[in-house]
Amino acid sequence: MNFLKPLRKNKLFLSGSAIVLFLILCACFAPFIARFSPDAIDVDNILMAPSLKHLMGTDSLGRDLFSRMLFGARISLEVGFIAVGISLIIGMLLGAIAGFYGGFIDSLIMRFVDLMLCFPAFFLILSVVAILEPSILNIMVIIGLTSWMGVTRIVRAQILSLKEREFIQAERIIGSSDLRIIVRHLLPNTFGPILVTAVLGMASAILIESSLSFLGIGVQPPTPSWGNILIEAKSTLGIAWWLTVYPGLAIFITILGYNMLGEGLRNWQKYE
Amino acid sequence: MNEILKIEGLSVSYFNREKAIPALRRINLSIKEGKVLSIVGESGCGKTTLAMSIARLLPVNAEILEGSIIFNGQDICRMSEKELEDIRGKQIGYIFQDPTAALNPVLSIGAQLIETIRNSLRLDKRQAHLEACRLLELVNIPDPTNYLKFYPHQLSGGLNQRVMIALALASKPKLLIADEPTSNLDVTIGAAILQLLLDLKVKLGLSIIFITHDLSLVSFLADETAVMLQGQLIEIQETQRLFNQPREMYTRELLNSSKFASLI
Amino acid sequence: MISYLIKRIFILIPLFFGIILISFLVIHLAPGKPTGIQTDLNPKVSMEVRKRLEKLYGLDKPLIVQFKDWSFRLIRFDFGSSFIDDRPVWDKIKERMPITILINLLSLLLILIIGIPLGVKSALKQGSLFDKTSSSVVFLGFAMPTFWLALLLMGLLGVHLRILPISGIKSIDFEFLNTGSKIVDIARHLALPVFVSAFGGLAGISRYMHQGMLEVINSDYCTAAFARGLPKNQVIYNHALRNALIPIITILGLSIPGLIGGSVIFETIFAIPGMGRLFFEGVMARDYPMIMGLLVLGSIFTLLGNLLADIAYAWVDPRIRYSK
Repeated sequence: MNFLKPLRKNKLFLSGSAIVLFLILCACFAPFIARFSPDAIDVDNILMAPSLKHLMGTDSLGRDLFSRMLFGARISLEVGFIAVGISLIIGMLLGAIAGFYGGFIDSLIMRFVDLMLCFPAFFLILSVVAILEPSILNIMVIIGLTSWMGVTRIVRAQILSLKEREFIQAERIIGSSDLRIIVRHLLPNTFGPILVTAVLGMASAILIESSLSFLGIGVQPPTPSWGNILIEAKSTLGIAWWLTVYPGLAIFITILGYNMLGEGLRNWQKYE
Repeated sequence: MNEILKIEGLSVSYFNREKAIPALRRINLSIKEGKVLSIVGESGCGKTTLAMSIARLLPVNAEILEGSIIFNGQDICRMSEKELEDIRGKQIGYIFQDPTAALNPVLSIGAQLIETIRNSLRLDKRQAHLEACRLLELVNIPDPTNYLKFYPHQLSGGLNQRVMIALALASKPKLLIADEPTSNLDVTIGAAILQLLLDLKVKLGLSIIFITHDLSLVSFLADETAVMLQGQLIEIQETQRLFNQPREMYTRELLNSSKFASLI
Repeated sequence: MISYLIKRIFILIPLFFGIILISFLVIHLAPGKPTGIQTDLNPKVSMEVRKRLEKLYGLDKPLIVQFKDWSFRLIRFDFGSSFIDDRPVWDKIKERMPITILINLLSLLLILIIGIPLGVKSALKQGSLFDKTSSSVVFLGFAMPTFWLALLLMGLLGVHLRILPISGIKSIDFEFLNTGSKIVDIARHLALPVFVSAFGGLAGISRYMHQGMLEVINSDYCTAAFARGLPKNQVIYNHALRNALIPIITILGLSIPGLIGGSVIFETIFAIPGMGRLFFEGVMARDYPMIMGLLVLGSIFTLLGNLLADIAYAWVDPRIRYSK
């Protein structure tokens, strides 16, 4: 496992993975760690500052913020994984076809990429979510459908550079089908470069989801999302600082964690 | 005739993540005023490191471990950056292997010339412009007024190399270091550049250090030749004598392989 | 250079066509046809809305006719009338455009004024404390969600310390102020939005500048300039910086969609009457003509921005300006 050595010394990678791992654990074990149900309304204890009972305080309906935050982590991770997954699938598909077949279909696909990049992504996402009505599924799919462009370019570039190598020529000579060549030989070689994009894509997806939720067209209440908890934060600005600080901090640290992980991986790849 | 440059016991190493890679091991050589010294050797023998050490252009990860470089009576190894500003360009000129890459792509060659001229001579814009034309004529570029407006990417490699020589001579140095000036050029163009260097040596009394891996060029230009191998100077002699009676085995091998190359 | 530019303008045509096509597809996602997913969560999707959509986009006509109509209307900037108040969408947008453009321009200015020197300085002092600190700050800046930053600053500067106003672009007594105070008033109102908008871009530009400078400083021509005896500062400014700044033009062009999208957030938070907020209001009210209009307009701005960046690049880089 010699190639793992530089990773062990890579501070960015280590801190980044620590944060991401922590996040995943919180999300997985949310039901066990949370002392209260995220939906438990308690009118006697609204807007309480953080205490031993409510580690992060309560919101304007008396719900425990800490519990809501834990379940919010689940949402963020879910959205992130699926959105990135979708973008990877589309990106690898289009990138492979464009890179492998070249010519007209390559130009067509790349023009399509340029076209998609013309639209301010956030505007496009907002429009579609508004029209299709906000739901977690819609959000995941739409974020995925608007973030495949970078993956496509990377996959295409990688395939273009590998296409003419001997081992691919050898496969052609023995009569392997195009599909087999692409799937078994070319695509696996794209996983390295894509990894960084995927990790950074997680950060981006989580940011978009929380922005949408904050604007009210993302995850709908009462389902807790770090973004939609911040809606309340705005109206209680100056009164309940914990509603502003904790969810935002969570988003910030999550994005930071993924960014660090991504950068760490990128640095590692550079020296390989 | 006095020595313009004398190097004694020069050792230089590169440092890469706590590891030291020796590049020059106790080099001793000297060159007399108005003469051409050629330094030959294979890639990686340290010729460019030696050249850069003399011009004090070593990158940050290189260090002069010991030795001295006496130029015009002063040890430039011990000089501060401020003092070196008077040496670089104004006393020691340098020309690079890839002429187009060594020119700023977004400035016209006139702009680059005038900038260098005004840095060392106190001339106003008009005078500097005239001086720039004069320099281009010196390197055999016809119609200089027109050429000043061009950008490096618009000119051929040969022309750019002449521009580089003009730039190097703009501050009137006494010593010119030419690091493989013809390696990136076609043979005929390269020959013209070498002829230019020879003419300049005669016309201006320039001392030249000419670095190359191509032995066939050396006999044309160089008074003395030094052979380097793995950071060490293994032989230095008057050029004709080196070719006819090489002292070292390695020199002999080098000569032989180049003879074969020219036969083919 | 002319041929380069003509090529770029030529590509715009299919892109524009593509924008029309995609926006057309997006419209047809709208519940004008029974989708079967009518739940209590979206009571706004009523029969009346469907009827209005049909009338506006002619959804009952054959697709080709619809597309033709849509294309011609877009070219004339006829986005229809807003569902909220029946005013022409284009008029409403025109009212709000200047303020959004102003804030984004100021934001760009801030990004350039702070980001570029920061990137350059940290590159020149590679490895120093300054470099390490600014790299960390930049990294944190990347990860900062703009709406959180906005909320934090609002809370701190607006509510607790009461230094800056946190909503709108004018104070209530704006009309009674003299010209000087009017400018100051607007400036105070714009301070937070511009800063929040610029924050992410700042980190980006600083980083690209840092990388660009490092590359350029180690290039042959910088070493050659140094070898000619030019003072270090001159080599940095006249040779290194000139070259390192050129790719920044492209990056600025590429950051335009991000700026436009980001304006939705900070305009909504700070109650700025701009295009972003108009978009948000349209989305909340499911004002389809408004949504479509702003989507298309946003794309056009992006295209224009990129074209401008290309023109600037061709002008500044002699390798393109004087190409054969």
